[in-house]
Amino acid sequence: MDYVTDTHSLLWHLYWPQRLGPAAKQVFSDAETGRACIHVPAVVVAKVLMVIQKGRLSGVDLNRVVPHLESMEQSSNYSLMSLTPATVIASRLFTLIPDIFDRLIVTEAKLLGFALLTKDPIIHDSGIVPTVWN
Amino acid sequence: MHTHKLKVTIPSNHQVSVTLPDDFPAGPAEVVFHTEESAQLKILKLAGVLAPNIAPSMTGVDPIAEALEELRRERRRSGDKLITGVQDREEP
Repeated sequence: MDYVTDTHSLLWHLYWPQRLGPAAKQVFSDAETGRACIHVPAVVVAKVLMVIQKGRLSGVDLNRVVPHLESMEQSSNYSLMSLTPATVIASRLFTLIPDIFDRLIVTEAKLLGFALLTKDPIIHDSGIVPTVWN
Repeated sequence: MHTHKLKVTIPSNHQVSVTLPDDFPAGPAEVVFHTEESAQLKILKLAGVLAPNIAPSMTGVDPIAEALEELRRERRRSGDKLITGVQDREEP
């Protein structure tokens, strides 16, 4: 199975997976045994870097996180997705999601037809894509 | 001959759907897929690779959600209303 992750889910998976919702935790667990693939939008990578740069995660700096992000390129269970003009243009349809970054992440999941790993109530309530958390 | 190049992500069901530009001529065409890497891909284990020395609280404050919300507020403040459908003023 394939899924798209948002920033919040990916960061908790990297930092303290116990904080993930049970369904999201199961998907990440499946990915780490080769039974699922997690697609990571370029916007999510950007937001991960921004959160780390804000110093909100104790003991985590860019030097620790960047190698893990780069290693995704060589893996079969994580996929880094390029942000394309087609995705940006398609995102115009999803005005229910007010934040442009969140909207682009939702658009990536919508275009691929994959569920989105997210706790975000706005995304969940929009019904644009299936979401996975609890 | 017309050529259109695009990047796609191959999902695990190995089915891909693409949309070509309207001016791309209809009719027979050839499709070739190139993978980006020929190297063997490995299964990556990332659970808890950034774990702190002290366990964070399982309830209450969510520092990641707070940081993300702060970033959203900063974007709103900076006037990032790109494609939100909001129009601040009429063009002269």
